Amino acid sequence: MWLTRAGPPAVAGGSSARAERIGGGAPHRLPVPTVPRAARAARWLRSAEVRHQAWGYLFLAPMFLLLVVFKFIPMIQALYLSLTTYDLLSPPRFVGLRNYMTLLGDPLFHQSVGVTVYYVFGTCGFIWFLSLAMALIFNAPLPGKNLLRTIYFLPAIVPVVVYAVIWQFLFHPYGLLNVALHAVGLPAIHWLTDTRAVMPGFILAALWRFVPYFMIVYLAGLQNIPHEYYEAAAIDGAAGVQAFRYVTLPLLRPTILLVVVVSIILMSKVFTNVLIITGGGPDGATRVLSLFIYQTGFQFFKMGLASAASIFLLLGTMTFTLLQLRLFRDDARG
Amino acid sequence: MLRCGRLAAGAVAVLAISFVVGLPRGADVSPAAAAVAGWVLPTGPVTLTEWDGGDGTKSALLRELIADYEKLHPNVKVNFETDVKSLKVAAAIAAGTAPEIFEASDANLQKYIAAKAVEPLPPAAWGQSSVDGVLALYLPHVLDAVTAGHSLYAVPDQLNAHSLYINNRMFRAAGLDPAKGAPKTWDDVARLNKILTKKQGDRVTQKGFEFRYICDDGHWQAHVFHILVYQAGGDVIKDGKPVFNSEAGLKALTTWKSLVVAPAVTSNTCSSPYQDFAVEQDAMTFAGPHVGKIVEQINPAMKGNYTVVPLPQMRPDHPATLIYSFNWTVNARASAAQKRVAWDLIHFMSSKPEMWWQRIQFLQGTRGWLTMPVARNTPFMSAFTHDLSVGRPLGRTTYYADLQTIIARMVDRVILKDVDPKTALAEASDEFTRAISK
Repeated sequence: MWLTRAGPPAVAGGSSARAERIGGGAPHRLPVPTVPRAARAARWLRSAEVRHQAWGYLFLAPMFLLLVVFKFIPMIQALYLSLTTYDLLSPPRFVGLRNYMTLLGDPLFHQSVGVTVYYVFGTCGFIWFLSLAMALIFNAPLPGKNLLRTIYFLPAIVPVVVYAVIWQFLFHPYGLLNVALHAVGLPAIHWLTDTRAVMPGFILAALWRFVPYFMIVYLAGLQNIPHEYYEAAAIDGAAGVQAFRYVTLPLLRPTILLVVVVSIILMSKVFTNVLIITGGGPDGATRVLSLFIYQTGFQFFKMGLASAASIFLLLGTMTFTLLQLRLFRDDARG
Repeated sequence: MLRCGRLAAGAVAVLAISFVVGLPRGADVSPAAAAVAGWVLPTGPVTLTEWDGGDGTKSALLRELIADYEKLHPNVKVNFETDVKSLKVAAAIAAGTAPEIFEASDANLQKYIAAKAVEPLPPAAWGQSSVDGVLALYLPHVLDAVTAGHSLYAVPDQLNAHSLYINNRMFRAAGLDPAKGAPKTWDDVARLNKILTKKQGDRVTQKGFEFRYICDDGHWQAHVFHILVYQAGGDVIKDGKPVFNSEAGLKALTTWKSLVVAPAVTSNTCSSPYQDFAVEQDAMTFAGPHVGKIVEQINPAMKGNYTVVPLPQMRPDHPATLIYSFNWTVNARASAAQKRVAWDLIHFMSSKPEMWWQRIQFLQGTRGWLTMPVARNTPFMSAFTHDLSVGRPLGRTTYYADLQTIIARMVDRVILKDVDPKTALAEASDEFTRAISK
């Protein structure tokens, strides 16, 4: 029926296109009796396609509602609060961009940004390569591979508080790390009280937890590469490093993009383990941006300033993500 | 020690005499008596909610007291919630959903007073005609931190001054007498550290004394810094401005540095700050009166194995220390009837000092308490009361949370990074000046 009658433009257009494909030429339009607009709309609403779409939206609605209530509204609220001074106890007072200017001139905020960048790139750089290396190892035929994979993956599923407490013990002056250093004749390190050692310690802890996680992501990507490509490459004389360079890497590009983007977002949001293990100390050496935001907002009750810092964090993470998406897209075209 | 002991005994005697001679009317006024004195309670049904920030031991006692009050006043129903963090209180105040009674530390209270979120205490609820009458029921200056202008905003459920706890066994093992050999000055502590600290190779297995470097908010560092600055004759905050970048501040940090043993060698955590003393790693620690019970709970072998003496001083002839408190406050947004009942309930709960001491070793700083048999028979009470009598409150500022983290960072720089104390003081003072201008 829809093929021969003028319906609402979008649906009619789509149907005409189908008719063209079916008939191989322009549709033959029959004289159409005039149907009132309201009746046409009602018929359109009763149509199977619309009902189908409506069900889709209905199923999406709960999650969409959750996103709106717990993500988008708070984000807009944070944006608004970043333009105010607000201590929770008195009503917010509009101050324009003052909070942003304060942060730009605040050495503690600069230190936090520096600490965050150090942590993010110190961690991600290793994660990208180590997890790929581990995935390549676990993708190869190994005896007891599944058991080894499971064992290696365990740190990724340990609750974050447990992970923090485990590393608190490991970082103790007489903990396992220093015992190991002592065993190989190296001096002990004050992991939690030496401002130079504390961040490398955190990076080490993050690798223990996140390399297995991203290894699984890489492993999924590797297992999606059809074996025929390697066979074809072998016929052309490419094996080993060449096969990795010309087959694995190009086909793994979407997975690499995912790992790079997700790891940067995850690492830039680091919070719980830092709060538990050092609380940002010593002397702010581990006060990452999310901890700075937490302390400014929930310890010092400076919600406006904390919101402005969270907007900076959002912009920073978004910029990196867009940059990576752009870089990978350009690379794909090239 | 003798000098300190005499000071302590003197302080107790003066306080006891002042109690006997000048006890104001209504010192131990029951709710019924308070009602006689003009504090009339509503007769219709009243429901209150109380939030407490304390632990399980304390909440058990509070629940019991609330139940007793409800029996006395069948028209009153009190909903009680424990382990409530100050952040939740602040968020509830912001949302207009704060309970009628909530606990506030003296540091947090300054913000609540400034925001008019808490109600001034009505003296009539204590059977008094003026705030001075209520102040007179307490030891001198212990309510300074909860007073603003000429209004009193709270009374403490827990009032602390740090004293020095000594492990008897470890002292005796080093050939020292815990009572006679107790340190009176921080120099004495530094000297004892050399005797009591033990190592196996590079590994520290026992320490004499160590300050605490735990809690991400800088709670302990700020307390110790206040104590040392006060003892050096200085101030931390004056009229809301930082004044710790001074000779006293410098003396405080250099004294602190002289006492460092191995800060990283610790099992203390923010939720268990007395662990090192309880498990007999540290031979001495600083703590309030309630800590004896906590230590005994962690390690039952500590029962009878410790002595408490007044906190060491920089200038024993000018003793000083810090007092801090956790307080009952009433929400300014409660209805008139709820406020009346809330203050009456607080008066009821705070009028049983013997119960608070016997059950959980909490002091509330009332004068009457010192003459009670239970107080007279309490071991080390002279040390606790001495330290309370020379105590001063924390620096008064609505930016205390900023201040304590800034102090903690300053201490980190001096102790862990070996930054010159003068530089660290100047940086911290600038940081605080910036913080209060944000």
